[in-house]
Amino acid sequence: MSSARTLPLRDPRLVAIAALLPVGFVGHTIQLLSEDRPWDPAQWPRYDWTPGWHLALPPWLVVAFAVGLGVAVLGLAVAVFRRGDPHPARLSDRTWLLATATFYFLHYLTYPFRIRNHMTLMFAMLFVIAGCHVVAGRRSRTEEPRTRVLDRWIVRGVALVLALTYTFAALHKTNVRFLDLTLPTAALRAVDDFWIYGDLGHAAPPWAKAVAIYGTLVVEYSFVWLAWAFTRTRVFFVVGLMLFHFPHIAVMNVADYPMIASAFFPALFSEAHWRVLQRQLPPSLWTTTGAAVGVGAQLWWMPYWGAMMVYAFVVVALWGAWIGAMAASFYMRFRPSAPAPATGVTPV
Amino acid sequence: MERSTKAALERRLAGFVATCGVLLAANYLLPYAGLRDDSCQTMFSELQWSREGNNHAFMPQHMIGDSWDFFYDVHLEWEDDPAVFRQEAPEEEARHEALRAWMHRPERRHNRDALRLVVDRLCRDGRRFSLRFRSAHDGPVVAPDEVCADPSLRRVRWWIPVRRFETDEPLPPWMRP
Repeated sequence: MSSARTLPLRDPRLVAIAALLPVGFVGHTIQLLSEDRPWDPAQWPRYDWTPGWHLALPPWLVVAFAVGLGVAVLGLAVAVFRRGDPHPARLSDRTWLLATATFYFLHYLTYPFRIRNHMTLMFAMLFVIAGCHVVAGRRSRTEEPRTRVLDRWIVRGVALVLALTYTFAALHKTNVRFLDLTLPTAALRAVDDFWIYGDLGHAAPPWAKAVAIYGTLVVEYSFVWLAWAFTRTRVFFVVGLMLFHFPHIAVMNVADYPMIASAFFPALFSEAHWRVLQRQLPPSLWTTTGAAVGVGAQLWWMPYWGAMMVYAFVVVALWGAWIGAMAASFYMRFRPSAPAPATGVTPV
Repeated sequence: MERSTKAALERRLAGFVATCGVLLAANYLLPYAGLRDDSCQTMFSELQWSREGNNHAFMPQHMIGDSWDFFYDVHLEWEDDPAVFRQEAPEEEARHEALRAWMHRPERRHNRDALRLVVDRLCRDGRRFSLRFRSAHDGPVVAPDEVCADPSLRRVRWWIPVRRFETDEPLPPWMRP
């Protein structure tokens, strides 16, 4: 019988997702705390008129689940950070990821206020991750090469959840009100805000509104599927998704959702493609330039300071570095090859 | 690892992933059946629905149940003496007053499931009270004789773990006085 120790995550895309998830959870926490204000006694009565399982539990237990989630996410972040320094007494990143999923289910199913869109996305992702582990059986967590099969299917499941989520977001928007460029909708107000805070004018011109509204449908219906399906054009669609989300981060004060969604973007890559990209991820001129451009853009567009806006800097810096790495890998693919170093015996 | 074992594992995982996809799609379709609005990716979508239909370009609307619907002009009066209750259970009484204040928020309509939940709680806590409301914005005022004996006002779906709709929301502009 092989060792019963749970093996670390094997698929580099899953490792990347595990590394990005804690960043996403920071956004989740900022949004929930800033909007629901659970420390404020004026908000407590809402607990009693909101339907849900939290009513069957003492409030301290609901809080304990949230704190447990925080501890699990912290453990996951540390475990991913220390992957290069394995120690037999230390829990693996896989164990921490499963702990995060378990506490997240408890947190979601007992959350006493509004369930945000990102929460069901996160629930579905973690359900796929934990569920695949259960379906594959215990040996798949402890024995190679079962672990690799398991990880590969988790990544496929995560990509499917992401694609469905964007598709349904577009489906709901395919309505006469969203597509009407003359009504004062939230989306059109956001386009105007983006124009105003970017010093591009006092209101967005009609063509910009049309591009934003119809472009939203094009991006949400198709970009995730296309990025998942086509290796050659993948980076363009991933960059497209990030650019599509930038106004949400910059002026709409909702950096949490784009960050959480992008934490699962590595699942859109093939394993080989991600390995190539991974080589470009460490700090370099490409990644630092990308991060600086991201931060600069956020500084330019940001309408005010706030917790979510500060968090937005982290998100755009991360995305800028990521785009820089993708640009670097793209450049490396097409740059003229250097002359091969001389080999063989040096003539005497 | 044998080839057949690997194939069986792959089949199991593929089946699970496909099932997750179907369940997630079903969740995201719930607004078209009037069964959920929270967390179905409808943010900023401007999707509007009612019993009569929706504003979608091609999706049909078929309402199931009335969890999506509202009570209007809700008003609660205590029929017992709050001072006595306050003396016996001050914290509970304060919570009851907060619930009553929620019902009396002006120019708002209240989700039916949320209101039923509150009515059920007050009844279980032994309060005596009268309730009046409208089932539709322009409908007649309803004032049940025995609120706690009316099962339609105490129907709580305990098997549903989370909130599915706004518990209360402002009246649409055309309904405001």
